[in-house]
Amino acid sequence: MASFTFRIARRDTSAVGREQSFQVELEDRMTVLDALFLIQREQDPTLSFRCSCRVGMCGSCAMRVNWQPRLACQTRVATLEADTITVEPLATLPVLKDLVVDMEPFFRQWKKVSPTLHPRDKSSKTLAVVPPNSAFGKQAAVKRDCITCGACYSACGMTGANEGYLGPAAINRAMLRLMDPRDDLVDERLKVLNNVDGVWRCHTQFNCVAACPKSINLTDSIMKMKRALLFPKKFHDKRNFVDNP
Amino acid sequence: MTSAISLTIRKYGWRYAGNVAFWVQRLTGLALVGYLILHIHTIRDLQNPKTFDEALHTFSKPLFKMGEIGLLATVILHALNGIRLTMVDLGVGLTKQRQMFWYFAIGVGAVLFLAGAIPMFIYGILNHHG
Repeated sequence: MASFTFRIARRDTSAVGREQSFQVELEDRMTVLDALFLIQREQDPTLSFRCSCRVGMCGSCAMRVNWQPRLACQTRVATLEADTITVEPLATLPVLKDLVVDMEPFFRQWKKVSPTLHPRDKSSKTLAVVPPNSAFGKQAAVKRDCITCGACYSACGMTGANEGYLGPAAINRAMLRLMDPRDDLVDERLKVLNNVDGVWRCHTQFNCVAACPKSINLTDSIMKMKRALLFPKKFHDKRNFVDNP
Repeated sequence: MTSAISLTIRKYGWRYAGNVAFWVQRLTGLALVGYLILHIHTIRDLQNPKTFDEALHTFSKPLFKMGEIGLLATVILHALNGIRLTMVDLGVGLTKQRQMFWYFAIGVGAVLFLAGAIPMFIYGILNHHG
């Protein structure tokens, strides 16, 4: 058992927030989310935060822990190597209460790229086979794990200043759909990306890569889409090649 | 407490190297714009040899020599990080951008800086005459 001070950003309906400190005793393997539950149960039942799965696959508990966006359920307090832990809501997104943010700006951008699959043959009953060695197979293996937690959107230096910017997660999803040989919404998606608030807004700060709890190289996805827009013929040839191996 | 702060800074500097590099590029770029304005303004004085000589005399003072050493650091940082950014834009070494910043732009840059700054300091400032 070790004692920790949690400095938690509190905010209710008023526009001004405040900081509140809590002392908690934690076991070695306990996470930031465990600590938040402990505080809520034993010290202040009005503390608000979001969580669901507790195993890092739903993406609800993203928040800033010691100034970095992380999943509270995946952050063991001992790994932070600090006695005082600051917990704040995600940056850039509007705060609803305490650590709960409104994800609407994030999903507004997410919807812009048509994140779902638009297959050529909608009535087809056959299962598509994606060869693991194909360009799409290789990309999908490392880029499809996005849990839409918003950590990248919060860490990005561009989203805060430009509300219209798609953000790393949406561009990554668009890239996966564009590389998918089954998908048929190519030109529409490329048009959304080829915009001043699309991929060209990225200044390769790599903050999204640093923040992503799923270790997705989002900047790589953005750069791939920039190249696809610069060399459309090459990109289309590659797609066709994947389509008919 | 000090160690906690230095630990945080070290961790941040590595994890968010891209962000540090972004601001280094912006700030050195602005400094270079400032230098270029002064530089071109002085060259315009070539029309009048007397004022040009006066300007050059001012620039040989230790304060400006120190500024020149600072300019060397700025140019090296901006150039090497610019090479890193170009490589990133070409899609080369996207997974090695942190190493490219700290080892290439800062590490190699520091060696180049010392190689230039030491002679500049000795001949420009220590052995400064008039």
